[in-house]
Amino acid sequence: MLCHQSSLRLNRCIHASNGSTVLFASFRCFVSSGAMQMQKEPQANICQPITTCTRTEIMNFQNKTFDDIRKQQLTKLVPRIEKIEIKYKGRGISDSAVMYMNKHLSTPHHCALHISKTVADSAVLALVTPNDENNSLLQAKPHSGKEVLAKDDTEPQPIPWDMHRPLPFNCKLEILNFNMPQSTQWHHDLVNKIYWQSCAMILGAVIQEAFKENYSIGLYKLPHISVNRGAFCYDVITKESLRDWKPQERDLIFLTKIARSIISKNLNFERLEVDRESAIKMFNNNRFQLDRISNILRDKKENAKISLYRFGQYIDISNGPHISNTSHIYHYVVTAVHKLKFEEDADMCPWRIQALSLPQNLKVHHAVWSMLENRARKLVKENLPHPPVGNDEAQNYVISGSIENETKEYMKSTGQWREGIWKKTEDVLKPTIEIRDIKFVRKPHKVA
Amino acid sequence: MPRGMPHGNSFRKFGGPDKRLHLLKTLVNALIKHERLETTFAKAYETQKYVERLIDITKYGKSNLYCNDMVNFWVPEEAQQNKLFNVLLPRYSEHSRKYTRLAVLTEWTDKDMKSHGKMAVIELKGNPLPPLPVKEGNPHTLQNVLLAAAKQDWDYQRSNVKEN
Repeated sequence: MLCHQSSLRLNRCIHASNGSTVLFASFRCFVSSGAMQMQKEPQANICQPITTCTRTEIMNFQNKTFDDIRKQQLTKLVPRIEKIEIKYKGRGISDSAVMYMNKHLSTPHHCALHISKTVADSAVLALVTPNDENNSLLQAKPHSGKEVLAKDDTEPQPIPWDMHRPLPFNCKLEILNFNMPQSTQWHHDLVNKIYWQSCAMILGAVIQEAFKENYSIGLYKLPHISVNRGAFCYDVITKESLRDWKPQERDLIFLTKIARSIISKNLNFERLEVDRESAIKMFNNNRFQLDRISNILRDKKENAKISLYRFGQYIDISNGPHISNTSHIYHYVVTAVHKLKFEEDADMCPWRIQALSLPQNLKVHHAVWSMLENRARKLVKENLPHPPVGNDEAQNYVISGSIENETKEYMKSTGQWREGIWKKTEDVLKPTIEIRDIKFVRKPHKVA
Repeated sequence: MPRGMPHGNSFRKFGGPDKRLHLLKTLVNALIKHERLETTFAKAYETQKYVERLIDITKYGKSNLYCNDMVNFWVPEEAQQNKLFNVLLPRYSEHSRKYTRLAVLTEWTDKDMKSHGKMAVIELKGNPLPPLPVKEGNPHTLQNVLLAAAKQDWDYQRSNVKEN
């Protein structure tokens, strides 16, 4: 099925293997080769009328549907305000409290604000253990033939909960940080895993911002990667135009600068649960994200919901909880871009973009950081969707010691680094990553 | 930078070069004998450097000329020399660099005792005395997990390179 305005955009259509045309990121009309029956109808019924097909228009559309759905859900859930009881477990005995908050409206962040601002600012995750017996989220486990221990039956498991997600039931609340000297390894592992996932999601936003409209680039997969690998990744697919791209150091520096400009806006991670149809409507332009949705909802009922996360204007599909705010991030560097082989279709070229980051409370000396960065340049082999092209060893296209040092601002008088202030991007309005064989010329050490 | 602080490290005199060496010698010997000392912060800080360097030197072995000279100067007593080679060396054979722990004590608030200054406790790690109430780094935080994983990687690579 061809696009509505196929005459104008024929040069950008890719012909997939089964004969139907597949259109790519920045186009409003699209057809997927997946097993969705809706797409057999004519185009006019599915697509919303949008004037232009640019990335900004798509993002506006996504954000608008997000807001509309959220409003609808709120009006359904909260015809009048009800109260719930929350027992907050503090750091010491004197800190614990019992709070009466609003059902479906108040979040753990609001509870923390009642205690103090530092608790609310430094909070990353909340652990919620529901109290009520008649509770939809508490599912009774069927009795297996094993021995019954007293512990398993009586105590419900704590659920990791976003800070900005409203609470729907009576519960006990516990707030987690990056550094909790009195907590167990399990708490720390949870927080680290969640930090890794949210930083990977930010990479997706960086990729959308960095490339010009000509180079169609689509978000492919968000893999789950353990912290031990040393870097988090986002898999991305590009068309022919970027197939011969050899990423250089200046590209990585540019990507980190864009990441900084996104992070410095201090964006909250907001969660929304959405049913299948509206999710398909929102991600209509990218067939790989639709594949992701169908994979998640494959074995579930028809009424099952998908959770979307939004920070700023960028929306992504993700299952687990995320950190509360991007202000928690301090170091953030895009370390490597690795090329992968897509065996089925020679036109499309997948890439794996890797980055490394550390939170505000756990800053690290610049020498230690450059060691960790160099380790993060190697290809992370966990959850690789396709085999890599070229050698397994690290492609060291970085000439300077570490990328972070190139993005710092130094004081004119002493030559010392100005903490917290990073160099802004040079071209913010028209980001470019062009394919050229550039001879890397080392610029003199710039002082602000 | 002021005269006594090159590279941010304070340059302490301790009453002159001869007196300083004599002082440090006694402190190093005392540490090896008792394994935990309470002194002023300045003295503890300096002995820490000398003791760690001494243990690094003993790792060369008794037959090494340089090692022999150093140990004979810094640890003249026979009993302490034996303790160094027979007890402390095997204890720190796999330790990389930090053999001592320096814990700063709270300052005296009493007027009479105010002249004492900043006191500290220096101890050799792995000693049989009851442990000091010192906060060690949390090994489960993100940066420590990353560093431990990176270290594992490098050790694995190094062992591979040695085999090849």
